Amino acid sequence: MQHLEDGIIHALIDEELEPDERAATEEHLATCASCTARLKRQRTVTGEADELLVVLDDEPVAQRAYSPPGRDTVSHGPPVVLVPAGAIDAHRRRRRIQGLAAAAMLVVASGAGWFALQGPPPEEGTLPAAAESRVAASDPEVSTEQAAAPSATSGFADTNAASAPMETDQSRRDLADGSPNPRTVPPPANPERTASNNVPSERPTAAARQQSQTPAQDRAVPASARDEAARRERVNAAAEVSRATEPAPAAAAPVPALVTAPSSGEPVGRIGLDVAERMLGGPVHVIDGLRVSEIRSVSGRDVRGADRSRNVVRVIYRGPDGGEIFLDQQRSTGGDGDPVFGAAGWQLGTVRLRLTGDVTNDSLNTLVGKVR
Amino acid sequence: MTDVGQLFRLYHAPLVRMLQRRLGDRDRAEELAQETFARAVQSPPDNPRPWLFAVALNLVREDARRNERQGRRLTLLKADETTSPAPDAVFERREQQARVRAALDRLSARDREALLLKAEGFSYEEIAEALGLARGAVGTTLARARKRLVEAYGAKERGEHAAS
Repeated sequence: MQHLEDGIIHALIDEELEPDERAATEEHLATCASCTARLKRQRTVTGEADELLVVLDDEPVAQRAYSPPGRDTVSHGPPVVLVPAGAIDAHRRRRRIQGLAAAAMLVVASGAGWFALQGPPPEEGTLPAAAESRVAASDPEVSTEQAAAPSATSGFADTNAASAPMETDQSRRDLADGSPNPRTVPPPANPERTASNNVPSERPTAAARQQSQTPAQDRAVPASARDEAARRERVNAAAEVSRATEPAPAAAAPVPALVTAPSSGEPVGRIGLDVAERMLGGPVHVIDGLRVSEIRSVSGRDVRGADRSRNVVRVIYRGPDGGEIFLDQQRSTGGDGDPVFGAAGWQLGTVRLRLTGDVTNDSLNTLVGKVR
Repeated sequence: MTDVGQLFRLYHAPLVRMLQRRLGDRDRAEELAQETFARAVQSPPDNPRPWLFAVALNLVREDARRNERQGRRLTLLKADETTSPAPDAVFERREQQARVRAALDRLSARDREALLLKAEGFSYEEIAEALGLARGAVGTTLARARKRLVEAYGAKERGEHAAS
């Protein structure tokens, strides 16, 4: 039996084989364990080589948000009517809950300082009872089932709801890396955008994200002394986070670098057209007639139905009412498993796509037809 | 001029990134990118993306030949040592970048360029056009390049760990 050449294996990995070549190659792989093992090894080598090249990047090159020339926010046809959706991405719901928890922690941390002024200082690592009860009251535990199940009152079902305020773009960016919601912490007056980096001011680092996620754990009463010590440590860390995220002085902090997703090593956050094209191995798909607000790279782990080992390119559109539409895109692996985005997605070339947003299903179906 | 403006908007950033990865010098990468677009103004290309990157890579080769003739070698780490000491994380990253760049330098020019173009999302067709290869040879070139880069980097890392 003649085995596959390395060039063919890599062309398969890069999805560069003609359909008949691909079919023949896959037929061979179905019966050749040796070539299947080589394919797996070469995929690993390809991934490692890609990650090494990314290491060479010092800082993001000046990004220019892509805007097709001569196109208005809404072109031909009636404007898209943005009405509350019945179900939203569970990821957005989880992020909002994390943001509320982080915001509540800030309130508690501020309250702890106020209580300290009023009476004896609290024992290190504990919050005053009143503050703890506020934390418990404002951050109800949400089970995985609740987070995953669509709810009639979830998302933007009630645009006037005070309990579930709509996320702004700024709040989503802050929530994405776990730092406090800016509705409780006012942003700097003039967030800095350097000439060489148009990435807006983002609160950085996996460390800060980890710290801000501790509030949920602090609500439980520890069973042992060791747990109590660990809980005190987390509370102190959360207090540090709240002090660190107080409003900045007039001179804004420098824009931090993009964080990377631990699963893929790819950048996470706002990206330019060129980075998006590189991630997709080809042109970025857009909705004809709508103006792109932003392009983001999102970890595959945070997008339902996506390949968790790679990032998703998310093209974001914003309507006049503040609603959003996401055109998620991820390169198709063509493997035997479920296709990316499952039945909700469709394929253009080598890219799988899915459209979600704050619009009716009819509007979404119309927009699907406009994706180019 | 509008067309070149659009080319600039679309391709300046990835061109600079590719050049920066190749050269390890952001300023020089920007200069060569500017020179590339200047040439595009003089002779607007029909198929801009592979043309721009091919011209840029030619400029890199000319740059390297010129530097060798002048006996000048750019060593970024040495230049950095003259400035104030960098935080540990920054220093470690620079060391890692130097290792990757050294591994990249172990590749042949063609293998290296194919790898850099693929990293910028070029198709096999475009890589073949930019580098003057047969399309059927691109997969083999990339297979070799990836394997050698990973092996060279691994050998460099092992060598440094053994030394420390």
